[in-house]
Amino acid sequence: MDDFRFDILLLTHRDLLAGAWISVKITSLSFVVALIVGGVVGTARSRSPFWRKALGPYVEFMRGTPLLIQLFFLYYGLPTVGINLDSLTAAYLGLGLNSGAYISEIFRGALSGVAKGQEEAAFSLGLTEIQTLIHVLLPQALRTAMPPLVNGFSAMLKDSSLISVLAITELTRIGQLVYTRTFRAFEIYLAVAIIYFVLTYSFTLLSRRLEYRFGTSARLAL
Amino acid sequence: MTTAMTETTKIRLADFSFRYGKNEVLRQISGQFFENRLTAIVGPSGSGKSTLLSVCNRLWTELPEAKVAGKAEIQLGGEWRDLCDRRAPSQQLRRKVGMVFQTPNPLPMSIFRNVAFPLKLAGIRDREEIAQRVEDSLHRTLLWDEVKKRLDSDARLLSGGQQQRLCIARSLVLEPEVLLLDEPTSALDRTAAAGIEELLIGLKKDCTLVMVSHYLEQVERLADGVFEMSGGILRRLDSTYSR
Ligand SMILES: Nc1ncnc2c1ncn2[C@@H]1O[C@H](COP(=O)(O)OP(=O)(O)O)[C@@H](O)[C@H]1O
Ligand SMILES: [Mg+2]
Repeated sequence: MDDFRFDILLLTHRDLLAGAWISVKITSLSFVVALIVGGVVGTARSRSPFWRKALGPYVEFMRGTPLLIQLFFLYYGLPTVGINLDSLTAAYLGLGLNSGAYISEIFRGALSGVAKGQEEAAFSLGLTEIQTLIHVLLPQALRTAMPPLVNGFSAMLKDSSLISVLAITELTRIGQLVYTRTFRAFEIYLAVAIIYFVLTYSFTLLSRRLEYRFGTSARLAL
Repeated sequence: MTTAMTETTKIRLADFSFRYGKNEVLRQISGQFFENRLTAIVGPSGSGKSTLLSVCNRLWTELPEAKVAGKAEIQLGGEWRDLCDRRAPSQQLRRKVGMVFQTPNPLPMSIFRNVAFPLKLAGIRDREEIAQRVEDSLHRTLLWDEVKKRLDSDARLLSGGQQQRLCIARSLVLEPEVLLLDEPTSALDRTAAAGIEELLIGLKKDCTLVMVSHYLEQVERLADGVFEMSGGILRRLDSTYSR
């Protein structure tokens, strides 16, 4: 058995941390895409039977196919029909649309959890449906949605590892590059895993804290 | 009971029917609700009382499966409006036809903002005017002294009776011509209910009141006229309604 050479990390940690930073940045932007897509799709589906049916296939398809295949399709498949996305755009779209499907279900659930009386109150005060959503229903739904949304961010951070196949130099890809330079698979991939873990676990902890905080005020609302 | 020279009709129904999908809930009912009177609607639960109220502020138009037939009209600002037209805009009308529900439903915001909210959405910007009208409404609902020192605290921390008075204040701030009340005291204890009753009597001079109630003593204390809803049929109970 080889000796461990953790001193390798002294030479490579800068590269790995830079890669982690890129992973966080790409995930953040993709998450904004996912929030917009998921917010709109989830709200539309919760408000109208028409949109519930019409957007159902999108949600099911995104959840029922591997993200890796979705990324391949966006980046390598679409050029066949004349749509050329650069690798970053494909990453934002792939991660955003995929996670948007999950997030739409979070929104739909959270909206259905808002007390029926709130909607009646808003309508009977002369609010339009849009005003009711913006001022009354969505703010309350967001509170319940907050912990699962933060969890969704943490899941996306892990999934973002897959965009390394689009030659984006994020954490996983940099791990691979450093490995080919050093041939120390054990040390490098362990370090990469630990960085992912520290990042995702901090968001999981944040989610739990939010759950606790918003859980308290949700009880107050009853 | 009050004695009046004339009665002015505020809401009138003629051969009016209402269905949720295939379920016919109101069957060719007719009746009138008068200005400055409190009309009570009694009857077993599930008989369509809340549905009837939802016709009066066009809340029914929010339900895709709801269907109406016949005639239902409301007179606002001297003009008759059709309550049966699904596509007519409802926002303006609802500001003049307030509604109070069985379960108090304060919005998740401060006491002040709860009452100021409908004014802001009605496009009123002047902060002083808003503050003044909020205060007036809270006075009218006998809530001002209890909440004036904590206007910024969360409305959901108020007691049930206070929450219900807050919801009435929220409706009154828009100066409605009609106030629909759906079992407004049934979630409250006796003292809180008595407070609401006192308030309703005071409102008769400005509003047409239509109240669903399960409490016969309450109906006797407050109502100038009584209808019974049963099996989708509306029947006038008192023979002395418009004396
Ligand atoms: N939104 C709705 N969709 C379908 N059916 C409804 C709806 N609301 C009420 N109903 C039905 O209409 C009937 C009358 O209900 P409602 O007007 O609430 O009665 P009440 O207020 O007298 O208890 C009931 O059978 C109820 O199940
Ligand atoms: Mg009812």
